[in-house]
Amino acid sequence: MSSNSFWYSLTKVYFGQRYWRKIQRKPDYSAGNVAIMLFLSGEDECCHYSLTYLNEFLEKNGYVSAFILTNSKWVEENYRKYNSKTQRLEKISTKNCDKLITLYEWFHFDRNFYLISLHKPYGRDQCLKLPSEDSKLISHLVKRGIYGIIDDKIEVEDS
Amino acid sequence: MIDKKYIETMLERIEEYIKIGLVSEKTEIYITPLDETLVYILELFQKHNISIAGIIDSRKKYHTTIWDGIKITAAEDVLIPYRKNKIIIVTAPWDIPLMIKLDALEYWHNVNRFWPCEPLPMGEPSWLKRQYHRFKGKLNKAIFHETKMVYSGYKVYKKLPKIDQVFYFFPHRSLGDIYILGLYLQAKTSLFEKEFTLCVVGKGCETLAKYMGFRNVVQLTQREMDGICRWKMVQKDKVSGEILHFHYIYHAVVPKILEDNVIPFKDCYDLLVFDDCLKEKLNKVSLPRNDVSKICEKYGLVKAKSVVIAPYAKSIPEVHFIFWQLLANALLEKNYTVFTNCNGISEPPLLGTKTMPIDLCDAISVIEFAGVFIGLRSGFCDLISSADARKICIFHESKENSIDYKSYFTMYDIVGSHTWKEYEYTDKNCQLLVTEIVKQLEIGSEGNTFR
Repeated sequence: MSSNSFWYSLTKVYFGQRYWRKIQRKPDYSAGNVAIMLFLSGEDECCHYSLTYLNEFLEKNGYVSAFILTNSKWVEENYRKYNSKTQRLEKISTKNCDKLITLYEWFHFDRNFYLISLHKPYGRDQCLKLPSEDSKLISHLVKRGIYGIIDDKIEVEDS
Repeated sequence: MIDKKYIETMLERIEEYIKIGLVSEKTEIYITPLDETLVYILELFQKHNISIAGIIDSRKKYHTTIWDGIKITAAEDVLIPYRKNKIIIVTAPWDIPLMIKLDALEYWHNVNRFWPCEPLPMGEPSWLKRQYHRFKGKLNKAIFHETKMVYSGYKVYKKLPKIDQVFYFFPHRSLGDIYILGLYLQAKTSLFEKEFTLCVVGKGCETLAKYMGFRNVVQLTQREMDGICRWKMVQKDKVSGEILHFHYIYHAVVPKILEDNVIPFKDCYDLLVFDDCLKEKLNKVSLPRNDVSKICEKYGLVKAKSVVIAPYAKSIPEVHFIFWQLLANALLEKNYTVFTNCNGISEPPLLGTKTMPIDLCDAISVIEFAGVFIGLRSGFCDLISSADARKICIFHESKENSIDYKSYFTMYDIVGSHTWKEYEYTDKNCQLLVTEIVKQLEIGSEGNTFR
């Protein structure tokens, strides 16, 4: 099966779906009103702003807490510093991360799932071309673009 | 008569849900469907001092009626907007239209908001039945729908003529965008250097693309285009080519950002689609003019003294018909010859005006011949933006919490665009706007263009 065939892509989606079912069986998922967030490695700045605005995002969307899935060491070490309402953090392998991303590219499989990245899935990196002051662009993209929080003033202190 | 055991098991289940503590002061409880079991459920809730917000039923004849002091409503009236504190109690799943709606609203997945109270079958189900239910539970409708769409895209992509192997997909049926792409082609942007095939939606876009100089153009339906774009997004770099639009990407964050920072429509192409800035080159682009004297004679256009009104658009909301009629009447009173740019069948001409379907390739020449153009801000305005005539563009009213159409789609930013007057239509300024437009035409009646 060649890598650009339809059935090859569908097989990858199947594995993604199977892994998602595993996550659904966890008590963190079935607790209700929990946002499941996938943080990716290699995007530390994006992760920093995502954790900064996490509480605000949870409040505005009626979530009680967040269940973080990540393959990033930086997130694992630093997420407690942000005092965010994180229920639990689970380190997953890059392979499993890719499975979820493939599934997310195929379709938006769960209303409570959020992919925190400015490069994945395909086409998201287009937003980095927008004109803005360098320090403010990423924080604005995370706050407005990914989280959808509407706010006039965007002031973030770098840690 | 309903079986007593049935009712007992159902009430037990509801009591279990209440005991777990899923009900708080803020929760709104809805019951479905409307049948005899309601009497028993209401008794139970009265015992626990919990009030019911409403009864949901898909049968229209029961809507707006009240049953035992509780309103009967449709699901969409109550459940949209989606709120976390709403709970639905389902006593029997026979109301299939309603069940489909609840499924679409994603109420199935969350135990906190969806209480199925249908009692289990009394006997042990057979192995075959168990397997069937297991399979049914795993079947995800959304994945089925998406897979169907991606597969159709894959099929269409396979059928495309692969002469040059590079494809550009333009996903919307929009003339204005095709015009802008054409300008970039003529300014020789780096994306169009190699041989490529442009895929567009609809006959109009195909005609315009060929007029703008694209050599290989493939016309697709909107459904085929949606499928092919989804296939591109799944396959990424394995499908050679690009989606030439900044708004289309499925998971993009750009649209939300554009709502805040209003970047004019044309600049979005500069920034997000074509990386190289070609402002100087783009300004030099000029489109060929055709000899339209025969066409103008046929319709009876008087040179520089005719007004072409274009009240119709396909991809944007239209301005109220009364405004256009008032405008046409005012112009006819001032002895202008007024034409309506329409096909005359699905789009009727304004009363007292003549029908004139303008071919896209002749549009610039016809408008230059007529002298005055008044139209809704649509893709057609982009096409004639460089014509030497007095042009007036009407924007429809921007909604609250939405982008400001006038600043986003402004004609001043379109390359080669000049001599435009822009007005925003609202329900309140209808008559004032007509007076203002007529006044502007009288002031600028001496020259070819507005100053």
